[in-house]
Amino acid sequence: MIATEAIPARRSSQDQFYADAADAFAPALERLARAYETDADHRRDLLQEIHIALWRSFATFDQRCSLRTWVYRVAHNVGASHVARQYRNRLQTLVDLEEFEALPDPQSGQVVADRTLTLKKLYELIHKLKPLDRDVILSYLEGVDAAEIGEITGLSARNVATKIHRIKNILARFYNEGGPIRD
Amino acid sequence: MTDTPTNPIQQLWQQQPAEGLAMSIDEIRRRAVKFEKRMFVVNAREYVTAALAITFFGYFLSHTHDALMRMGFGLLIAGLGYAMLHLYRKGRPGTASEQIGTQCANFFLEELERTRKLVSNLWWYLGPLVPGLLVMMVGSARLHPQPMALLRLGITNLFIAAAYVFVIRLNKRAARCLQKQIDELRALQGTP
Repeated sequence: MIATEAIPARRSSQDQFYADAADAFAPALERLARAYETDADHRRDLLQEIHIALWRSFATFDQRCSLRTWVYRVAHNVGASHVARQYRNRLQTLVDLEEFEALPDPQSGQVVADRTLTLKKLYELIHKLKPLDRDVILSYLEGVDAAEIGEITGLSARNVATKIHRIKNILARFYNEGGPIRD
Repeated sequence: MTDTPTNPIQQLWQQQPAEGLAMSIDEIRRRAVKFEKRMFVVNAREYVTAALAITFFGYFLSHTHDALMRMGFGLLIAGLGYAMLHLYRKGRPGTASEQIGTQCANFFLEELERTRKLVSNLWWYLGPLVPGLLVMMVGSARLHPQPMALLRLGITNLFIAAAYVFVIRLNKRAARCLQKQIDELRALQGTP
């Protein structure tokens, strides 16, 4: 029952969509998995789960949105479910961007020039965020524009714009190399 | 396919070294089947627990000669069976391939709604056990009418009632919390 039901009938287009998505977005999916899971072993499992979900999802992909939007939706939904499953008891301790922006910066004024340290801080920030805010910041970091972030997340344009504004402020706070981050 | 990074932090993010997860389509298919099996085992845990409880009650059902107590155990087994059936039908998230490509807020909202409905309507898993417990209470009082035995029975039932009240309050709190998250999410979507 389980084994056969997992494999939909439309294999060829499903496989093709998956192959295209894996070719184009494999590194982005890996970064996304890192943003949802700190433990290396669990991260490998999560990445595998994302790839499987992606392949399965292409059985119902009707191309009403771009391949990239679909890939990010699936990946973020798997990631958010993972966070909810793994951290059910401490989900309430995650903060949104507004709360994070209001937190005092322990390294205020200190320029973080080291790339590794900057990435480490960036991951620390992302790991503290609620799933939807995590979706927004990850999409932003991947260079997705505001309109497509709205399509991926389902948030209104106004809310996406507000969140991106907050993200830029937060990022500028600890990445001050040569001044604030450009738009 | 990623847009050209427009600022240093996007550049830094996108230029991280990737380990690379190379899986052929056949490998993906094989792992999908394995993954489904693993999920099946994980989901089966609560049913296994219920099956153990049913076996336990079944043992007493077959070893008790008092008709009322037998009826009580029988009702408890039926109640547990009903609760598990309800959990199977309503408690499982939708098929991943059907919902996984929806917008993240909708996906999250659906999950929150499903959980809220489950925790705000408690009678599907607390209610079915009540008839069995009541019948057993009466049966036990009839079998052991001595004052000390009745006192012990009364205390036991008080504990059960307290546990019910505790679970109801806990779930109501969880439902309120979930409703708050649902409202926040709807506001972010721009829907009333």
